[in-house]
Amino acid sequence: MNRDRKRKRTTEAAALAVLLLGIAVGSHATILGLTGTSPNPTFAFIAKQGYISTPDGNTIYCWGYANAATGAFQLPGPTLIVNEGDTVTITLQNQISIPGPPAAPGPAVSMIFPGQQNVSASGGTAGVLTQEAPSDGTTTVTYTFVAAHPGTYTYFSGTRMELEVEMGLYGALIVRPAGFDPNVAANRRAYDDPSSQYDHEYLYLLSDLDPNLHPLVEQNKLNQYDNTTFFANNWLVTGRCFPDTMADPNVGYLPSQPYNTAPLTHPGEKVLLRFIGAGHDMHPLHHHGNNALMIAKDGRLLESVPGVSGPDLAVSDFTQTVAPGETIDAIWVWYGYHLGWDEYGHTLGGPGPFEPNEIYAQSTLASSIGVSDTAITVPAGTGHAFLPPPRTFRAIIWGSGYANPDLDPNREVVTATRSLTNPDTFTITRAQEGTAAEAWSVGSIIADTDHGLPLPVTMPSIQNLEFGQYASGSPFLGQSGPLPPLQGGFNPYNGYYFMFHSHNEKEIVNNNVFPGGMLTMMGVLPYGAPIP
Amino acid sequence: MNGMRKLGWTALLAALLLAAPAARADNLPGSRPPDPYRSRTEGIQIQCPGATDPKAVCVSIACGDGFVKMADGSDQYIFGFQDVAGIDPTVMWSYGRLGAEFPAPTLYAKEGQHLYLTLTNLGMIMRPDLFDPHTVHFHGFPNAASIFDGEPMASFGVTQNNSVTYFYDLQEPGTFMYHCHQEASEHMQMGMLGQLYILPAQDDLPDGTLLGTFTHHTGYKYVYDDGDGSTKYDVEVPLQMSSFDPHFHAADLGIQPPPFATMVDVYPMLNGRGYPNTCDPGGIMNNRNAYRSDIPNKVAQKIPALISCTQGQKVLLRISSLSTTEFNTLTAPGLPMLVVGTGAHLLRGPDKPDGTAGKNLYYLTQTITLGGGESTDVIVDTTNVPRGTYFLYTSNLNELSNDHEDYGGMMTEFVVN
Amino acid sequence: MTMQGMTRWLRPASLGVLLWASLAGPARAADFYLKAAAMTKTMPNAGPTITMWGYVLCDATFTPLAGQVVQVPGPRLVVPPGDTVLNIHLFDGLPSAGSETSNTSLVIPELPATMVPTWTDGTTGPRTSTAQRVRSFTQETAPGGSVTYTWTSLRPGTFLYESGTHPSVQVQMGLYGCVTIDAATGPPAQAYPGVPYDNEALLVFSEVDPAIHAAVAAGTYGTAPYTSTITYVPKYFFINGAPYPDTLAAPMFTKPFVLGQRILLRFLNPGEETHVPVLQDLYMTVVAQDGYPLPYPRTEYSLILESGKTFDAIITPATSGLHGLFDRRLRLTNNMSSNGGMLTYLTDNGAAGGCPGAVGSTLKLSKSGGQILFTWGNIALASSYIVYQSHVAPLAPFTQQGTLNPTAPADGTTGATMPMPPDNLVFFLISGDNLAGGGCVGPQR
Repeated sequence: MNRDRKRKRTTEAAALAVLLLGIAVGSHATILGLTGTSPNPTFAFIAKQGYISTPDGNTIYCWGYANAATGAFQLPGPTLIVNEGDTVTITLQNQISIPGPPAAPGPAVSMIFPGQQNVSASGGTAGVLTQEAPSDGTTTVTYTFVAAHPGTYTYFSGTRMELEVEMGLYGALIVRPAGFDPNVAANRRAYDDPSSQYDHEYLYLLSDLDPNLHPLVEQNKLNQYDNTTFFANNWLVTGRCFPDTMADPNVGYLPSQPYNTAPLTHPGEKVLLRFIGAGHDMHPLHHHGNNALMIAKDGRLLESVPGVSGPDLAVSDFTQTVAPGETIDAIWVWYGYHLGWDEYGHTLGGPGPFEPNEIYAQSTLASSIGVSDTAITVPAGTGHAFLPPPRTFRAIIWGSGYANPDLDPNREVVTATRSLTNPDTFTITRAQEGTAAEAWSVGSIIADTDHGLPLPVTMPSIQNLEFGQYASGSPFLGQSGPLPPLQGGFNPYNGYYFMFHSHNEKEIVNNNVFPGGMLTMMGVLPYGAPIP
Repeated sequence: MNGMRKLGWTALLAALLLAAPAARADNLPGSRPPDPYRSRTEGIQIQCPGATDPKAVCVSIACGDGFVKMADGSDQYIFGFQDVAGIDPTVMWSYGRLGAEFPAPTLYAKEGQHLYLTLTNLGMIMRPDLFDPHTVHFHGFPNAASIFDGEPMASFGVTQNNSVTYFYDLQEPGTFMYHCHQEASEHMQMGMLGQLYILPAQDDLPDGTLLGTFTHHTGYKYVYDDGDGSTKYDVEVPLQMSSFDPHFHAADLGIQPPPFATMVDVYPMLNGRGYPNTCDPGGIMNNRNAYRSDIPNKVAQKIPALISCTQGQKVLLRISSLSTTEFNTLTAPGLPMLVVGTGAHLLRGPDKPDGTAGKNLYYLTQTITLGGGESTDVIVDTTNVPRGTYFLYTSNLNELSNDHEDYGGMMTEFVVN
Repeated sequence: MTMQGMTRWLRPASLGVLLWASLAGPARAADFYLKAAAMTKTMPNAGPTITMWGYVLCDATFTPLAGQVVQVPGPRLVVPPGDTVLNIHLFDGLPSAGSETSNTSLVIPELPATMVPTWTDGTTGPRTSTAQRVRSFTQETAPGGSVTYTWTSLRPGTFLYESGTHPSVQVQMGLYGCVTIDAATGPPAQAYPGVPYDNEALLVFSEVDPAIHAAVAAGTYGTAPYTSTITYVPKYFFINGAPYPDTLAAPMFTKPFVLGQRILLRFLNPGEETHVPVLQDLYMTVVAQDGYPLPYPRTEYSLILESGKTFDAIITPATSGLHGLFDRRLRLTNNMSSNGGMLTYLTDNGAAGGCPGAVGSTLKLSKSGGQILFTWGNIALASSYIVYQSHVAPLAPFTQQGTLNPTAPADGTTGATMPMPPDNLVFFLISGDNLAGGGCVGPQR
């Protein structure tokens, strides 16, 4: 607990900002955006030009959809958050003017909304896919649709896409399901189905840009603009490159890149990841820490009977293939199950709280056993939660009057194997880890848990290692350890951090600087640590 | 150099992972002279619990630099891993210097085992100016803890002349992969990539166990704990897609800053080889002696990609990609590919609340597309496949090239006998 | 597209080498005669003329059938439901290409077949040394000769056929096409058992890197700078062998478009890149890939259409909106020009005499007093002109109609007029090198 925090990096420290904000424990991270007023939300957009900054020191001329209410150029466009059934109206004007020299009016721009049906467009001029707003700054195009289905969607320009999408004319659209309520756990859902419930949600709008193309546009050299030789050198998550992804939202030094992606959670909590492909290329977005369950694509649950079965076709994977124009919803949970050691560094019966994620499977004894019995039964239908044979697992048995095994001085550690034929019958090897065999009555608790297991290896001296900025110095969740000078410092709650990043690893640089690009760090914080 | 080298790679790794851990001390090369190069060994500690943990399997690998040969004959400087099982720390540096292999040694173990993986950083012979730490990232390991995740921003890298032992309680079978995560864009492009898979516990059920209507027999092998025998296979071939940018490798050898911004891969490979080297059942000798005259050449590419079976057999292709630059699609005309797993997970919908299996989502396909860090399990049932030679290759057809050499690239052969 | 299958009781093929397996009983066979030969395609916007290799549908003497020309993609081969054998008789009419092989072959990746490789040393059969490299995945046809390729394990589906010889060059050159086998003829036809459809569209995505084509045409492929295909920079992006706006020139559907009917979209990608076709205003139900029915259909508006892939999907448009279909990987240019590439509309762009209400563009058409009134948006008028062509086969080449009135107001609320033309013309407004829009005049659906 005496870690060296003297080092103060001038770069982003989202986690430290969390400390300062002091937001209440138990809150649920939500995606920032424009919500409008249900049931007829209206948004006024102006296509504008401006500059984004990338951590390699570059300033890049871009185009983006600006919220007319503030008038500020931004990338990506405002995340629109509406409700299922809303009639959504978006007006679009175009103030893009190419600086040159010579200066020139920008091209017409537009918006299309894949996944929305019966979109009506009026005003402006007809383009190849929809009505377009010429860059006169006054012509207004109006797009209207009914957000008929909840889900994650995207919008982008339907005009000269190889130019205008590259320049930044894209954004996210989130449709909340009917009855959505962020403050009621059961109604905090991505879709109508209850299995899409979540605790925190984060937006991964993935894009890529070729910094050599943008100056051609800025300098009015469009005749040299060749999308067929597109070669990205910057990769963005919701408009920012790492490490800017981890900074606070709306920080002053990123005036046109308002959205961060600095995910945090606690063990066992459900994190809804909304992935959107907004650039040219597919990106393999790998989430360390655990697989995620992909429950929806393109705003539709993966279900065998649409609207009925729930996401019974959901797929578990450790990397999501995010293709341009597509959206994916995935639920990621880190349980800490079966590490083979106690992630809290606790000893059996020792101090420290027994945390809820330490139990992997739990049942009770359906009949009593004596000190020499080597078989137990659990209530019918409860055994399947335990590891199937021929796996063996460590379990603790303790008295039903105790909330957890630490409190029962007679707790017994056993090694258990489920029967091949009856999942509710286990054979057990008694009195492990120095505990004594006890007679256990009906209703005694048996749980598969790593609680109290020591770390099986000895960690090297810290002098033999080089620690990263999110290291706590300790193997244990919520604990810190000594760190060499100038190492660590971005993990004030001593969480476990997991990189969520493009696994086409050239995409986690900013031009020639590693690390950067399409990279974020997911923090699994100990219970009680605040999440904004 | 070592008698173990003469074994096939599968046999070697079987010995590595499935042998009793206590046997490892017997492999010490007793006749080896004292290491003239090295005096510091106190940072190397190879941890293996022996009999105190009956589930333990221990692996000792080292990392550093080396050379490999592309199918067009060009040498590529690499960073990589090598097997140093049984090598005493006092001689490890002289044993392993400039000995990096590509791909890294394939690791496999069984669900339920405890994997103790010791990584020793031997440093870079050709880059004495570099003091890069290294790590092992067990890619896809479920419910990882940061301390053993090998992602150094959230934990640590191992510095030169030191070692760390990672611990994994292997809970889930499947096709994973491993790689160094230190400065990943560089170290992975440079070749610190390997295959890693976990065999399911279902393989070890007692003979005659009923899995639904399917009867398990000793010796049957499955991809996952499917509960119904539907992932049973006869022949297993791990295939890893990767690719190299020779300019990037040349810059690293030439003590230039890594040119991330211009990275373009022109050597598309399977198991670290371009065609036709993919079909060479032997190892590929490198040319490191041309760069360090005191170090003899070594077989640094030990993993063929040739697939061979008997008609009627089911062939499991454990396909993964650790490309640092792009997605690739594989196709195999005439061979039906049944996908049974992705992301080291049986391809089924979520289990129902009562514990019964979710919906079976296996599907037949003619293409497999993977980006870096993606894996899939494919079973090719050759029952209705006429005997002959078939080709598994990327349908990104321009990548059937070894840089400027034609008739090469990401392709191998699938022989049905 | 051509759907000319000849079904007959199996008999020995009279030409070429016979590869079909012996069959236990009588079987119905579909026989197709294809000739591989060179052709050229001219790109829009006064673009280059590119040498390609394609296929032409022939009779049993390899004489092109009436009205058939060498085309890319090759003619669609429709195998009637119930046929158990497919014979494709391939005549090699490819030109000499310098050091590049002009031998060729034909594979259907999705269907099992007996294949005997040919190596670059000219030998065939199993590999005999580690140095050998494959040139052809199956038996080759030499220039002037023919080989019959036979498949005896047929199943319903949408399949690719393509060259199995040096595919990095020959498939890029254009040697690919589509085989479809339905489960039932109907009506309604069934693509797979239990997958009925009323109408269909073929959507073959592919790309062209003109530099490789030029090297092959010049006989210099194989020498620097094109010793291999590793450097691949496609400049033109086709749906059904044409980039937008030429994608609009051919009818989209095989039958007249009727709202509410089930339209089967057959997506194929014989190109070398993954494309991501996105539907505007529509979802599709994806029912099969590579001719394998999906265990559960998927509802989505986009597809990851990898190279070498086929997908079958059903749309049921309930409105007559634009329903754009485009590659979201932004292959939407003709070389450097905007409004090109892999873009088309899932609307009736003129099939069987029909005409969409509007193709949707800066160019708008209206009929007025025996004339057509054109209106347009903000374009540089001095370099603008209108072209038109019939959208009823046989297709006429684009014809320049004339330049627009250069004094018309720049923001274009009014424009030029022309005498009422015959129906069934598609108009395109060209501004500079870019397509500014298109329109159609004809019986409205």
